[in-house]
Amino acid sequence: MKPLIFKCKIKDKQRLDMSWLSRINTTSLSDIKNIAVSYGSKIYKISKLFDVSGNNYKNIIIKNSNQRLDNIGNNLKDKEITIFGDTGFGLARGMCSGKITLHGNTGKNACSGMRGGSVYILGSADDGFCCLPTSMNEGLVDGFIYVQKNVGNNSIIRMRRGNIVIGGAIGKNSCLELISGSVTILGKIGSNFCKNARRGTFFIKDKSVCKEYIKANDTDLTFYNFYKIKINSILKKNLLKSSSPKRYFGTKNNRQLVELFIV
Amino acid sequence: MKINGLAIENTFAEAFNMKASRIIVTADNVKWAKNAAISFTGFATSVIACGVEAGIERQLKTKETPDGRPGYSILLFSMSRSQLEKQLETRAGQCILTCPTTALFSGLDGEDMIPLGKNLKYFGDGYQISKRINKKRFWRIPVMDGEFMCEEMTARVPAIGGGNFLLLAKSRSSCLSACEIAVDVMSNIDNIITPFPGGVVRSGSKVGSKYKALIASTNDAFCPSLSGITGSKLHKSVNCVMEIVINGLTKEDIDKGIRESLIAISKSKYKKDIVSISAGNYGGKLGQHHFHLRKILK
Repeated sequence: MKPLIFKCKIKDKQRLDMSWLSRINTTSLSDIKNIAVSYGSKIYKISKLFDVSGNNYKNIIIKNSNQRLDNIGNNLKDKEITIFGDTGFGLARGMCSGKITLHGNTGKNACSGMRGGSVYILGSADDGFCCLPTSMNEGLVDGFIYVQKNVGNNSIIRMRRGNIVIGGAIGKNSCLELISGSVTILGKIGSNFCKNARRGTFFIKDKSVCKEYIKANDTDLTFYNFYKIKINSILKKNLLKSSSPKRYFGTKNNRQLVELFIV
Repeated sequence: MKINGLAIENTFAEAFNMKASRIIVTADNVKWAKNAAISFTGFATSVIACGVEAGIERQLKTKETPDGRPGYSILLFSMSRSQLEKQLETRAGQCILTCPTTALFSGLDGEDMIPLGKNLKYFGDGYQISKRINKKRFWRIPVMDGEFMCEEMTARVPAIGGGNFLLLAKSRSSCLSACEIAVDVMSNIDNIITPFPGGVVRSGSKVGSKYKALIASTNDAFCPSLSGITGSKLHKSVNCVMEIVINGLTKEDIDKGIRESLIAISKSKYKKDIVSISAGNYGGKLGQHHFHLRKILK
């Protein structure tokens, strides 16, 4: 079976809801080409908007993607999507399992309400990354997310669990009301970081946020090396290099159990 | 049948279906990983009275362990799921959680999962931290040397316990030396353990006893000291018998263990003192697996 390839032909400015992509469950190319989608004020067949080839609906490739393609990987289950180009808002929203690799930047509200699977964004993510979806009280519920570059404002809200690795900077008002989970941020951190968090572990380089946290002693912790090995092997990169990071544990004001490793 | 001059009797070992699990113990150095592994596998020779049969499978290199530290893999075997669960948690709590610098991980993947650190986490008294990576949950339990890290679950898989062979020798020293060669060979084979002390057992048993309370008693047919007064199965020249019991994840693993260790004995200088190689069975009616020595060595 060959990967199912969608080559985008859209040149107009209307946005296209791509959530139908996660629901494809047929290997018949003609059936896939005939899927009807709403675009602008009209209904179109997929073949009018994309050049379609291949038949493996478990392995989807999108070429010529752009910022007007929204909700790619919405509620995705057990599929792999590779995207070349940028995407609109709602990438991997509510995703349950599978894998998304984006060779470009993504729009607002990416990975909000994600429940599992892994997402690799080899570019930047706009505001509201891993934020609260409308119907849920938790942002990221589980899964692994890697953003190679930067992340916008108001990101990572009410994260329940999972692992996020950000290779660049993160904007202001991020990591608010964190419940748990692990977040690595290798660039600068915006203002109002990690307010009202309950638990969670951060691996960061920006020391400016440390002043609100209690410096822990230099106890050897098995977890850091274990996590470093896991993350570096998942990403096949030597991202976490420090062998003896400084650790902060608990906030000075309300003694919440947030943990910071300065890597 | 003779292998390099070593006589192999036409008999078979009788073994049983069991349930097994593998764990990985790591520590800051080999010494403390070994201390934990030895403690964990103590008093785990036979399910008759120990509840579980356990042994060190092999030492792991730092590249093979989840946290990049030296470690050991341990296999546990039991007749029932509940015993395996109970023994695993009890031993992990008393022998590994207590041992300085250690961490504990699952060494098997599968669908049938049993608790490893799931209940040990409560030792953290609310300060334990959960981490979920790649669909696996790990617990960080604060302890006095830092933290004890432990995977939440490990897998339980079908396995075989009780594969064996007997060395019938002219002298005790030669018999023991030949056994040591066999155990050394098997310590380099994956997926098997020899659960008895040093891998060797001298008190092979038969089913039942003249005393009603006992379910097993000495295998008098293989006791050299009784050869004149019981229905002995021993040749006059046999003055010592020792047994090696092998538990493994699959029949092929045990076959390999028996074959390679017997070939190693047959090439050793102690071969001249070994009268023959036999095996322990109960007539073939109790165990689900039969290991025919001559078939294995063909």
